[in-house]
Amino acid sequence: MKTHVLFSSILCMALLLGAGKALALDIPPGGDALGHQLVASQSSVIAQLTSNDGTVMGFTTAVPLTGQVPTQFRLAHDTYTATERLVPGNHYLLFLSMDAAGALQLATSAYSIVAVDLQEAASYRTAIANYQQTWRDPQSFKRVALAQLDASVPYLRYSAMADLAYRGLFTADDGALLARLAASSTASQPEVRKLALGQIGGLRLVAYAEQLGAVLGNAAETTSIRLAALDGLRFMDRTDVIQRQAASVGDSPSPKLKARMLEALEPQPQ
Amino acid sequence: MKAHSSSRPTTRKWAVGLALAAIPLFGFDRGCVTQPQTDILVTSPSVNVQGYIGRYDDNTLEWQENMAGWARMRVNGGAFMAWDQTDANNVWQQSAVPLPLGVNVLDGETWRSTPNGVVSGNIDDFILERKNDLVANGSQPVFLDWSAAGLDAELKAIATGTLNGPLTAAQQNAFVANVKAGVANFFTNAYAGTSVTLASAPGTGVHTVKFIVGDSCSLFGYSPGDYKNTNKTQTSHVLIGTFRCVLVDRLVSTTPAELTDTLAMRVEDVATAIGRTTAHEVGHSLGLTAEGETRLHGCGGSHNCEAYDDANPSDRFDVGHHIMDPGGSSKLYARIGQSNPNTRAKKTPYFERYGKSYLKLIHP
Ligand SMILES: [Zn+2]
Repeated sequence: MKTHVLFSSILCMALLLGAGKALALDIPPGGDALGHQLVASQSSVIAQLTSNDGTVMGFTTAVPLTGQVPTQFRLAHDTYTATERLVPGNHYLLFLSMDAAGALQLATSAYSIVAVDLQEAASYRTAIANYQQTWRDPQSFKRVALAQLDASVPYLRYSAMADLAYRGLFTADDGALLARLAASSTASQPEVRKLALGQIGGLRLVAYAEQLGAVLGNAAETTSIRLAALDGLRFMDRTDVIQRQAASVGDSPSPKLKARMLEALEPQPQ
Repeated sequence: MKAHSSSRPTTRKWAVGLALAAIPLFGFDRGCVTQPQTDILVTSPSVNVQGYIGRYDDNTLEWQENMAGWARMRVNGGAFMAWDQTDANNVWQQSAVPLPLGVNVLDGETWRSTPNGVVSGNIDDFILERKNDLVANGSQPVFLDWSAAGLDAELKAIATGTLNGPLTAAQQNAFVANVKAGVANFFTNAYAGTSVTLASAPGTGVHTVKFIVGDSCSLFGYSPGDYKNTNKTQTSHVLIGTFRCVLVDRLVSTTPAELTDTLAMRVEDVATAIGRTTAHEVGHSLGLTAEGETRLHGCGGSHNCEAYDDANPSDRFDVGHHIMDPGGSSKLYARIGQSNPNTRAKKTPYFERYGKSYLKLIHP
């Protein structure tokens, strides 16, 4: 009986097509990372995009990951997925839920699509299994997430960083690791670096203040990375280091960086 | 008159004195624009730009005094306009600065004579974007609908889950009432200067914000994106259950909030977070921050775009301090109106100038 119900619901899911929406969605901090996406979705899958006419996307399941997913299914575009460059033939990690009418949909619109390489499937499967086993136990989760910071897949590295940072799981003992993640290197993604710079400040790891100062003062860095370094220094109350970078900030074409710098140098109300 | 090269004067003297703080300098000059606001939308084909020549302290970067001198501006790197001399109040004005349609980057330079020689300064790049597709669209009443079942219990759970307590039933009831009042208050302040105002009942032409418990911990709210607010009778949703999940789980560990805070502090934290999302969802339904170069340069699902700020002299995104910043990168401390994750220092979320200028054009 149960199997029958399940099967028919899969059929429905395959046939029903949700209406394309134009809803702007507001997710929590780090809501695009793996932890929140698993919470938000009823199933997840690596699927090949077989057709994309701008209104509807057709998919064929390649690797089912969680929950029940039909072998072939269609998803209606919404305003935001429609602007994504989705290429037929490519594979995507999809986090799926059902809408009120029972049609399959992306759990949180464009936040629930990740371009993947089929060869990464095993990495995703392992990461998701680790998350499912440990998510409710912060210390166990921290162990698997720390390991995942070195994953070969960028989305998994970003997810580990975002989920650790937004759950408040880093401690002062993680200083050396955070300093490595904050440093500029080919392996580091901007989003990971920004989070690491903020965490160093939030944890008041003053030993790394000069490293943050160097990032703030580096004209080759983007404004957003320099702002993350500025915030980190602000969080640890190292106005002296900020002030030493004023000349380089003065050279920046960004009025935003200058405005935040002046704000940071203003005496704080007690 | 002193001959000026047409090349962009270096901004270096903006702060070079800091590196040489031991050497007494006479500060550095910056041209400041006071009229109109910078980084906003305008509809007129030309604007008068006014400002001061400020002398700044090399050490503190703080403004010292306004000076008499000359200033000139240019648009999109074109020819400079004529030098304008400051008036008796030390105000310079470049009259009828022409603005082509689209994004315009303006900049300029200043100079003044001193006994030690000429001191020149910069007017830093700023944006004035001219649009011709925005028209005043009357007022927009907004009704906050708290009628759904279960909301009060969720709000109480936020109070009891983030404070040492114990809280009496009366305290919990007061918390609920005060948070709801605080949300309305936040909303009114956020939309100050526009005709987006709270209504006491739903109806045709009224936008409704429906507070619901929700069934996930992964969505704070959702709303129809509606550039230019073509439909005034829409509904946004704010999911109080998600606030309960996220705040109970993370408020104390990732913001300056403490379990020992007073009930009043928690009222303000929660009212600010929910009020910000309420203002945010209504913002979407009014058209913020529509994506595309001919719209409002939003990205990531119609939100203020950090990448745009990396590429332009703009200030649209600020980690959640700006109301239309995207959910995924809006920090919890910013959402509760704090400037940092460690110690309390108030920074109430607001519509940055660009977004506010859009709201003022369509709902003056
Ligand atoms: Zn939004």
